[in-house]
Amino acid sequence: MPGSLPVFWGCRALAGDASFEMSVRGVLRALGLSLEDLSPQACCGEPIRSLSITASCYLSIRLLALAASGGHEELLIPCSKGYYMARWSLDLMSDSREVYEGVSRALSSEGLDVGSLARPLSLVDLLYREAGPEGLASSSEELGLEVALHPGCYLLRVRPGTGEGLDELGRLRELLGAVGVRAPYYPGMLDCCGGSLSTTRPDAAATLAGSKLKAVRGAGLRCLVLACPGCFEMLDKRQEEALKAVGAREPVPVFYFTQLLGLALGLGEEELGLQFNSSPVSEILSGVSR
Amino acid sequence: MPGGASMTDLMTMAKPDEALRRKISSRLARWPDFCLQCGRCTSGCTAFRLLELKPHEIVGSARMGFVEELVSSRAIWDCALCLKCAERCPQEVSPAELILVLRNEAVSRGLEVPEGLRNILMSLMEVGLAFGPRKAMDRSGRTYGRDELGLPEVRTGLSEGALMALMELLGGA
Repeated sequence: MPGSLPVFWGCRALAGDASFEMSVRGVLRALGLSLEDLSPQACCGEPIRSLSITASCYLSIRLLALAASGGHEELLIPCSKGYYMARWSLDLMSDSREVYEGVSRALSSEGLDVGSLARPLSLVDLLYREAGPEGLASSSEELGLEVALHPGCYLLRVRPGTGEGLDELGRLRELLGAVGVRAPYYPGMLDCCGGSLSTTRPDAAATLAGSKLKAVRGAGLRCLVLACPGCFEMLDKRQEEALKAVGAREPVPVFYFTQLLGLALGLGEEELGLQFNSSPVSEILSGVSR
Repeated sequence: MPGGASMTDLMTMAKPDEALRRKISSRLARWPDFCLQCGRCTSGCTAFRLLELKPHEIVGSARMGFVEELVSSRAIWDCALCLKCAERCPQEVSPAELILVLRNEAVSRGLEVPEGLRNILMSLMEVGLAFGPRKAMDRSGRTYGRDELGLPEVRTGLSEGALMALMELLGGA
């Protein structure tokens, strides 16, 4: 891939989720991919969809327009919600004239053009395209792990009804499989972590997150692996609250899938931000074959 | 739901509002008229299990024109936006999207907005992000700046032009 790829990190990374940002940067660097931070970084619009759909689409499309105005054809959006927003906003603009006109008018306030947008690119798609399972397998050590993979609603249902999300899940499992991480189906695998409910019904959100953690233990799996920073907030950062909500006690180690890929590629635990995972990841790390 | 009344109770009290129904439908890719009331959305709904949200009832009520009642109901704020309903619908209707449009209408009327959303809006106006930049905290509670972690500085925020455009789109919100 010639040149550097622009990346939009999203608010969770910029709000101190170093586990996410460091592991994504580390893995892409190890694979020889060069990133350029989109500047400036601002909200992708997802958190304000309940307030105004048109305003939220505007914020998402604006990121694609900013990348295009910098001469880029693609914008990497490693956050699942941010990527979902870009795909949803593009679809909504073609379905609704009202939304299209609102977004177009808003973009023109900064001299941006709705006709000139970068293509959104998911992290799974980038890794699959640039390294693929074969590329990863040839440059890494097998970790020998069996995990509970939680794809998250916004990766799994990126364009509901089209099957695209299931393709993303398939590619993600292949990438993990290439580094010796098995991700079998378990009851509750496709369930929601409660993240989007946390702003409107925080009590129910914690119960959903707790149920997810219980499902992992119930399936006899030792750790949970995520793709989305919103899910990480619920299942790792707020794990104590989630376990309490469902009366569970046993903590569950939680990783980003990029942290596992990074370990397999030979990166150090600190380079992958593993010290910033709040859950007890050490018990898994000590048993990983590297 | 005010006074503990169910949505069906409220529906018997008012006449369907056609103008409002048309206004809501203009913002949807696929209007609920296509809904078969098969209940697949509700049978898989995350919030049904926990909060008894019934997406097929919301779609059915909207289809019949009882939009006013939906806009002022608490039920629309119970949706987890997990998109299972949209994924499961054989008619390609998205109850989650209808719920978002109903929430937008509630907000534009100045009806109650959950505190979490108000905080996000304030942060967005102040720093251009839903959650402001913060230091990373490790398991021992020690905090680190980006420079200490070898992460490049990242410029954040919305330009004045973007902020003005956003406020115009948000209108009453």
